[in-house]
Amino acid sequence: MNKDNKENIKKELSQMGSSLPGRPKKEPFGVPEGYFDTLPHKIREEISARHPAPETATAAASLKRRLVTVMASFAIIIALAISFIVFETGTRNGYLTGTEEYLDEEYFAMTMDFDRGFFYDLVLESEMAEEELTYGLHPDTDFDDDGELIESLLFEMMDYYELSAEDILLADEEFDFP
Amino acid sequence: MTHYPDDELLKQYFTGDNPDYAFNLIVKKYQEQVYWHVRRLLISHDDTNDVVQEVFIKVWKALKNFRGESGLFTWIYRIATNEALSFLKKKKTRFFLPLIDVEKQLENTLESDVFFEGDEMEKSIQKAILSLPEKQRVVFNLRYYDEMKYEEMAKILNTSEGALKASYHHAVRKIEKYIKED
Repeated sequence: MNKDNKENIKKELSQMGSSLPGRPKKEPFGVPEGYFDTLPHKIREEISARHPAPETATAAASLKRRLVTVMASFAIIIALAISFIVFETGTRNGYLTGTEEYLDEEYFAMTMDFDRGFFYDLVLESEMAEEELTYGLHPDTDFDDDGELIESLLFEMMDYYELSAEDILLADEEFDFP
Repeated sequence: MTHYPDDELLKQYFTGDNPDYAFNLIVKKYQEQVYWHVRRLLISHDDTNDVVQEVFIKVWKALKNFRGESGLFTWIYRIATNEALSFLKKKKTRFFLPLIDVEKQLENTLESDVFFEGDEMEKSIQKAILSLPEKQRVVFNLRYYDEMKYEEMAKILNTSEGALKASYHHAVRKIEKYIKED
């Protein structure tokens, strides 16, 4: 406030015959040390907490893309598996329980970590993976059953990332996956 | 610390590259005035801290629609006054306390306030202020502590200057009477 007003207020009190001393030079109340240095930051934090940038849609978009990649990768795996099975049908009757368990573990790891590179490594770069796939599937594999496996895997991923089918269908923006 | 004039801050907010930065400058410019204004009404630092944050969040939300019909300072002070009074009202409603009990509670807060740095006279004035009706308390604080012109107060409180002058005179009389009897 300007000095003139300060004088006016003193004069006003005096005209009223008041014995009040006038405004103290220092605020009678105190604040914790450094309070005003941190207040703007606290306000920003509170605003961010109450009004976070919208990100659900973008997360869903990213998941959508990744799910498409997963499904495409599975399609490649299955296509490869089919070609091997068709090629070897009638020549093999073995059933490798240990290999199935290995694949289940890999599916689980993939669900949790979701590294799409896994598929390419598995299918395109690793001879071992090809071998595992070839021997891992029973010659009489019912691919409808595998379809269910893929579907349940996708649902697990949606649960893991707490997204609904609607989120995935409606999503259309970029987002860095957690 | 040097602060930009309000019109410069608003220009930066509305036309600059970084409105968040401009908002931050507004907070820095007015945080202390708003804090003291609210603190004198609520006494407790913790309550004041909550309300001041609420005031600036409201400012942040509404600033994009600010038309400049009143000055930025007047507008922020009006929000602060409303928030502080509505905080007291909620407190009364929440605890079903009659008016006198909330004022008594504020007086107890004042007595036990570890941050109070005033002398006995100042404490006595503060207790006297707490004995005033809420609106009179606001008028007294704006005039006595914020050294505000009646013209400015009229804009903040949406009342005529004449009514404010009368209210301030009544408040001064009551405070003096309280101090004499204390």
